[in-house]
Amino acid sequence: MAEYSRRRVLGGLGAALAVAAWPGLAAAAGKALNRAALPGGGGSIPVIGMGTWRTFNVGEDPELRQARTQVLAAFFEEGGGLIDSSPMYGSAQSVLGHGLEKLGYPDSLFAADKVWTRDGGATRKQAAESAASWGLERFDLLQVHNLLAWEAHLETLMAMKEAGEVGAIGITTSHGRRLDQFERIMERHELDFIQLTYNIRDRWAEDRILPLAREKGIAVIANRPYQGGSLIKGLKDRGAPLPDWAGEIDCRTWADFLLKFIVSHPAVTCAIPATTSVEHVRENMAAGRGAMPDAAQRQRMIETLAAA
Amino acid sequence: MLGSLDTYALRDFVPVTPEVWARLFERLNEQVWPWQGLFLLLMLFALWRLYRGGSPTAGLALAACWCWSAVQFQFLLHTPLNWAASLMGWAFMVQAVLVLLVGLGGGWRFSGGLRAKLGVVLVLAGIVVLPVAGPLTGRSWAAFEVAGTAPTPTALVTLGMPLMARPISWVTGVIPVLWLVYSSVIWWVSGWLPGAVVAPLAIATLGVATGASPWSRGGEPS
Ligand SMILES: NC(=O)c1ccc[n+]([C@@H]2O[C@H](COP(=O)([O-])OP(=O)(O)OC[C@H]3O[C@@H](n4cnc5c(N)ncnc54)[C@H](OP(=O)(O)O)[C@@H]3O)[C@@H](O)[C@H]2O)c1
Repeated sequence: MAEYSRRRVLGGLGAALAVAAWPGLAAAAGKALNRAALPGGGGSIPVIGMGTWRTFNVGEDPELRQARTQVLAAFFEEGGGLIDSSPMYGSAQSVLGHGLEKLGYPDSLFAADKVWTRDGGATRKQAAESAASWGLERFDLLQVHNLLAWEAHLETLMAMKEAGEVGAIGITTSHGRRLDQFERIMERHELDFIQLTYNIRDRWAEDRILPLAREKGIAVIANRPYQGGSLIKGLKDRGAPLPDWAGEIDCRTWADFLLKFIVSHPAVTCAIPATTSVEHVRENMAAGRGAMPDAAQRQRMIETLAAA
Repeated sequence: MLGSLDTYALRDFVPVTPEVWARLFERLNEQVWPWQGLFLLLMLFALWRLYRGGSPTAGLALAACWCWSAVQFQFLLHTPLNWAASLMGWAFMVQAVLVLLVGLGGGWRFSGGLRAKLGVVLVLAGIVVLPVAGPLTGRSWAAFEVAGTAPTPTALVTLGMPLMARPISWVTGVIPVLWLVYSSVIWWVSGWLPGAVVAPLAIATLGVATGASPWSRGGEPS
């Protein structure tokens, strides 16, 4: 994805060995996902990415690290790009680094991380530590996590972008917290990305934030696409049937239904479901292929879900 | 399994999945093997010394268990998963100092009665009931929580000990109760009922032991 070299240590031999160990990676190109253009001519990324809160926080546990590497491998085999993490997520960054190294840092990786410290002077230091955990030289995207000490961090991130130390910058929130302030920052600062909660149940961003993002040309990452899991697991556990017309928009699973709803919003760039399961990651990535709902179908999806 | 969707709101604040939390105790056993046996013996030794009136050695043995649990569980295993665990590790170290001071001050001296029986209930819960409940309810034997190393059984035994002693010193109860509450919340969202009920049951036992309410001091002042 990125037009610069970000592999820290792995040369061509390492990547070749990784492809030999994970043959599915070589076939990834054949499974291209729908892509969303990044504002400002910054290329494009697949519309389904992956989050790592809780799911990749497995510490040093070798068994679970191997299991997460398999999730990562499936993500890239399915054509995945953006992966989101944060220093707040315990060991998730180093678990990612471990897996990425095993996979030879697939080219499609779009590495998104965050700055999360009250110390407004520690932006560069924390970003460097995070990059070391991932095994990268720099990130494609750095975001101020939950607006923590955002003024100082954003100023430094802007300088870092200017100096080519990071590809793009942004801010994040979730659960609809501090939206007024979020909106003001979007209005007053040059952001490349915002990340916030948007899913078929949590649609408060539709009123002002998403239109503003479109107007200002800011890419949007939708977090908590399954409301932390309760939404999709609730539907699956209840055995709720998909509507008859779901086939019109290439929906075979609830993952298709919920994720296609999110990424079909014209302002949304990608959704980042998190998972510990290879089966689920494949199901999630499948939502990024085929037809997407139009405005009328989106409305129908909302009504269907309210009744499900 | 609890499996209730109500737990999702709480889950937002828990940084690990149930699988990782359950594996942590397997890894703890792998990491300390075979030393958990020694620390279990130290815990039993502390109880025996308390029974025999040897307060300083009881305090010393118990303090060693808290330091061990701080290092092996909190600092080495839990901290990489949760930045707050290093604070918990330091709290465990403070707990070690507290039990040592209470022991040296003669606070771990056996006294019988109904309250002591409730103390025995907590001690047995920590040494036998909770650890055995794990494998009996679907957790692996490899994750068996051994008192003296695993924090929850160690906290339960430590809460039982003041109830068996005169005068009661509650100062050694605060950190174990806080740990039990944290652990119960995690087990609640992870769906393991026996782990989830530990804190409420332990607090209720302390409440009964001290009189009508868990907040009334009861007993002799420390
Ligand atoms: N302020 C912020 O910056 C912020 C806040 C929140 C989230 N985020 C980011 O957004 C990401 C996503 O949010 P989230 O992790 O909170 O919640 P989420 O993605 O809405 O839900 C994750 C849960 O959904 C389950 N799941 C995933 N795919 C599934 C499928 N196909 N079928 C059934 N269950 C499935 C997973 O369980 P399994 O493991 O069983 O699949 C997991 O428990 C985070 O990981 C994080 O990177 C950022």
